[in-house]
Amino acid sequence: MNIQVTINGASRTWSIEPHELLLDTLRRYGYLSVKKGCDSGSCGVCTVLINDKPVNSCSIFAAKVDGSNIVTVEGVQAEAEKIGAYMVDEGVDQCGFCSPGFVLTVLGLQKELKNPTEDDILHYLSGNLCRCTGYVGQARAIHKYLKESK
Amino acid sequence: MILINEYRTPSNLQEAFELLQSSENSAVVGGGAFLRFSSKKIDVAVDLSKAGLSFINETEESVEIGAMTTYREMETSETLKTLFEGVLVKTIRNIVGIQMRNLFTIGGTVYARYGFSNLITTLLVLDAEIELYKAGRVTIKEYLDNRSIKNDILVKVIIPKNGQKVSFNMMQKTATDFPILTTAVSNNNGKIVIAVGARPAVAQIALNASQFASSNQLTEDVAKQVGELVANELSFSADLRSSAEYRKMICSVLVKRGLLEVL
Amino acid sequence: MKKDLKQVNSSIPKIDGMGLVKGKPAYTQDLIPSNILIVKTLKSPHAFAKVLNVNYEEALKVEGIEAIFSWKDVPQTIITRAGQGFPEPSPYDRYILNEYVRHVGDEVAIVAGETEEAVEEALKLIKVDYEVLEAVLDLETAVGHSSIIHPEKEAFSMFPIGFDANKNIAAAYEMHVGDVDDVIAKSEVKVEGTYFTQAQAQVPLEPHNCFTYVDFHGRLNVITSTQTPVHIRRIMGRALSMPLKKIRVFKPRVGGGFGGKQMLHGELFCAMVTLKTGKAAKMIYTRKEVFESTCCRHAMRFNLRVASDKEGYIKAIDMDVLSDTGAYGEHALTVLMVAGSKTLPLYNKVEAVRFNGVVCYTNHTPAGAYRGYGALQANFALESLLDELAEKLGISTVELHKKNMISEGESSPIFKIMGEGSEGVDMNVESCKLDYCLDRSIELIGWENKYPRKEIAPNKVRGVGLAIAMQGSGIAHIDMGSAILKLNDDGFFNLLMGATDIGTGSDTILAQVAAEAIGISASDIVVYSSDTDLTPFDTGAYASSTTYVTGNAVRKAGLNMRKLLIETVAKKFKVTPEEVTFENGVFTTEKESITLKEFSTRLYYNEGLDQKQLVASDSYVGEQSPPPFMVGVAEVEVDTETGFFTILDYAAVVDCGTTLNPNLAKIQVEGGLMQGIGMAVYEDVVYTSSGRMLTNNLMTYKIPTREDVKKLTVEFADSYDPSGPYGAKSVGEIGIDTPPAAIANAIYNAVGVRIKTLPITPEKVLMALKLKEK
Ligand SMILES: Cc1cc2nc3c(=O)[nH]c(=O)nc-3n(C[C@H](O)[C@H](O)[C@H](O)COP(=O)(O)OP(=O)(O)OC[C@H]3O[C@@H](n4cnc5c(N)ncnc54)[C@H](O)[C@@H]3O)c2cc1C
Repeated sequence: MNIQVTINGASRTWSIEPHELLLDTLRRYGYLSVKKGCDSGSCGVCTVLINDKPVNSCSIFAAKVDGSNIVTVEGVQAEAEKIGAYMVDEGVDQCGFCSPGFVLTVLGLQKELKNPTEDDILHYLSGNLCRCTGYVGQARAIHKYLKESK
Repeated sequence: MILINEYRTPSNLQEAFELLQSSENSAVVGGGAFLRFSSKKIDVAVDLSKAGLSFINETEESVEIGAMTTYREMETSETLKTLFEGVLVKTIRNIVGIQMRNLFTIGGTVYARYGFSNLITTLLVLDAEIELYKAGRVTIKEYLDNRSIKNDILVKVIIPKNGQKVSFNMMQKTATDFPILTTAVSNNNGKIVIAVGARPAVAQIALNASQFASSNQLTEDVAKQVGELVANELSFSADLRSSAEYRKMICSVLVKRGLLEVL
Repeated sequence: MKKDLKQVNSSIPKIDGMGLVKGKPAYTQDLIPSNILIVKTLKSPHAFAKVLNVNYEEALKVEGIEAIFSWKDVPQTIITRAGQGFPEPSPYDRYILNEYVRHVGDEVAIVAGETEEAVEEALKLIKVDYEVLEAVLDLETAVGHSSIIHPEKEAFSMFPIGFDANKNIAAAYEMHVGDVDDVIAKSEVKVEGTYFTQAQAQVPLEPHNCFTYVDFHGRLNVITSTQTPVHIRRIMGRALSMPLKKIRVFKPRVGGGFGGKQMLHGELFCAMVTLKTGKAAKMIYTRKEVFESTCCRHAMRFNLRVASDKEGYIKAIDMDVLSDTGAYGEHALTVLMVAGSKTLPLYNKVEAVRFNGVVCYTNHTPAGAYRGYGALQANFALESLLDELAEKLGISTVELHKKNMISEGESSPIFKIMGEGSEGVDMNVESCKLDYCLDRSIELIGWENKYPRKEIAPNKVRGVGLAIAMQGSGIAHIDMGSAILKLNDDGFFNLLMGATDIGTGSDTILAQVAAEAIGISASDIVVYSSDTDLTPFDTGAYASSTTYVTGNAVRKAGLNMRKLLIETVAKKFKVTPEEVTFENGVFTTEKESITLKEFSTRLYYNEGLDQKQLVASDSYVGEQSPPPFMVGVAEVEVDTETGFFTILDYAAVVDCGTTLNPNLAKIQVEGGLMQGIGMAVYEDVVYTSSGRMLTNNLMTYKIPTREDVKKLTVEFADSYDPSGPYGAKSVGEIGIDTPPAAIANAIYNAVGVRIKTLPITPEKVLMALKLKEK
């Protein structure tokens, strides 16, 4: 079947299997920043923004996003670089596998929460697992980023 | 791996229902986040996204939540943030991550009668009703008891507003894990209702204990006693997350705490 | 020593960081060409069975299916997949596919096809007749069980490791110094206990992925998310009876390894398909496959005895270990030995010490390498029991540790006796700031005001607890790293290394080391690593070896390059090398000067017969394995009614010598701590009574989330190890070691119950509290 989406600002028609998960479709069409991690919606490395909201692309049928606006890190390179600068500065860009999904959730947070507390930030990002950093460095980086990009 | 032959997104309920009836191997897609684990071959998948079921409507007597309303929509709804001091928000806020709560629907969790369902626990003590396309309006309790309702569409959940105080408590391993146990308590002018879920079987009201609690002046001692009554009244079993014994032990503690919160 | 450092000991950004954050294609799965065969394997549903017949006739008929192989179709050359140096200390007990399947998830058949759907359907159509055998699922009864997991007569070990297949023993080891029984009998104070540590899964967020193709030279190319490219090449050569020159292994960026990618996993299945069909093939592991069909940590049972005098001077330690290696013996012996060799030397002033261990086969998913590698397991037992000893002595654990722990300049007989798989190497500990680490870490946590407990509400009690730890820095006399530096026109260098950056930042810190040695900026180094055709030998990323072993090799190569540069410049200017200085990118003699940029361009284009390529290389094998040390202190809050507890703070102070890149070192420790906390309280590989893994996904196997631990506080001791590159020791593993014991001790201090079986769950705490009340 075909679906019509806006991906990173561009209008596209994709041919998909009815049971195909969005993650697989995205990777098939070359959006390789979207990673495959756990197959169960538990880790967040496949996060994309669908109509501005972070969603795990492994857990949503591609057919469902017909007509939606999808953003991957390929589409927010400047923002990723800005957030990335804070991450790199803390050394929390470790294996990097969770980074693109993490960046998108941070962008979702920025859009959705106006004056988040430290707890709000942790809670918003809690669906993004990371096995390398122990999280606290990421918290330092994002805290600084949010403070300085106000 | 799930296989779907045809994926349809009907624009109204009637069409959805007809599609659902059109094949024996059809399935409703809510968020689809759990359905995707199925290894079935589905003939027609009926996605309700466009059937007008995403809403939270407040009236004098009740709050109605459309089946396709996502957890995140519920969490951020001003209505639900204040309704019963935000107990529904508290009920769902720790379920996985935001990326999944943007997908999960209230219809999916209720219709599927999941044992681990946080929401069912709270909806039970709120005396909520559900509207099914074919079977009509039933209370959640009836729906859980009556397993003959199938191949239907859950349209909305209706929560009566009757000035009650409500609490929700649970225990989890990590902050985003499935619950080890969920408990909810409501106090409607002295009428107490207590439900416990993730036992790991689906949530259930402790009728006798609720009655006992309703007919006694609630003090710390009584709360403790009620907690134990609940633990003895309901059945618990073991799974990966806990032994039956531990569930029983924390049940009385969480219920006690929940009761003290609704004094 | 440290003050002159310009490039190292500085937190430059990780060189690959920004590209990865921006989601550039970099990992194995991102590099797969399109139109490649999809490879999946059929797995055993039984914990132990003999495969009587595999009928794949129907499956082959599925449209799009290219090939199916059962054990009869693949070479039966026995191997070990361990991914260690050669000869391996692990038993050869494994085939590509075999007529026995030894755990649920063990591979039965390989299926390759054009689409996911076709391969899935073919998998369903394969009919297998099994003779189900009695599975061995209990560690305690595995040795001498009537069911023999490796009945094949071909299984063997390269050298004596205690391997005894008939008794289900993969490896065994014993050593002692002095007469332990006698010293314990004579000692004034004795404690003993039994401790269990569970299997933990590594859970790198990137699953194990690989793809293979045969290039136009007819060579097999293997692109894989591995920690050990050189070992992969060697083991594949043996398994496939191919000369190594026919195989190239390349490691792209790796999304975490933690030991889980030290072994071979999908590479052989993919290669079989590629070699037999001539077509490119890929294998992308599902998370379920990662859990069930790769490897995990060795579960262990410790019987431990410690004796001291009344003042608290430890006289004897007796450690007895039973370890579960699962279906195959990968890393069986070495993980066992590290349990002793990386804990017992901490208390080097004992009169007698004994270590005795047996590693048994069971029908569980095989155990393999995992950060901490035995040291973590033993640390839990030893540091828990020492806490009990302190209590029995009536002294604080801080005092007990101060009285007994190893200090700078000292040695331990164990260094010489126990290596990894074989004898160790004698050494004096030339850097050890444990005393500082201890003082500082308890200061950070506020020990004085918090020890042992504080009741903060009727049902809420806080407590603090500590543990100390050591690890190694590579395997002395075995692990080798090497480096090649090539000067290019325009004055930049390629650094070619076999070292395997698995997300740790080793490419970055090694560039810093090279830059420091040459006397240039790290930004003028372009790193290329882990490609067996192009990069020099390196054993790989394991045993905490990259910083120390490869770091030393890179430093030597860098110094060689500096020397070569200066000599070449001296020749050009007709002076002696001593008359040339090289600073800030400029060579200067008394009369002349030239920038490196100009010099290198001229050297390659304009020097006539003097034109030549400058290349320097070197390698390094550790003469010793200097241990990093650390102290970890946990503060917990326990809900006495539910047993639920929260880790409020975890303070750690680490002595890893010079921190080559302080930021990256810190994240190594913070990340290690979080995995250690996962091991301590959340993570557990659980099986049904028939041996099926219940925790085969991330909904049931729980790793810590960012909301679980309130605070981590990590600092480093000012330390310098003279044998390390610019004073550095390893830092990759040690962070994981202390949380289990420190948290167990903190919970004991808070509420008076000792949990001796990991993970420490609220359920165990509450049950123990109830038992205590009785
Ligand atoms: C990783 C993970 C962790 C989770 N943790 C928790 C947790 O801790 N607590 C908790 O309560 N839940 C948890 N859940 C479950 C989650 O809350 C949802 O209940 C679940 O995903 C189903 O919601 P959905 O909208 O995705 O439904 P779907 O997957 O679309 O549907 C679920 C089932 O209900 C049917 N269905 C859906 N909507 C309707 C409808 N309107 N009418 C009729 N039938 C319908 C479908 O056909 C299907 O059989 C978790 C889920 C995942 C994937």
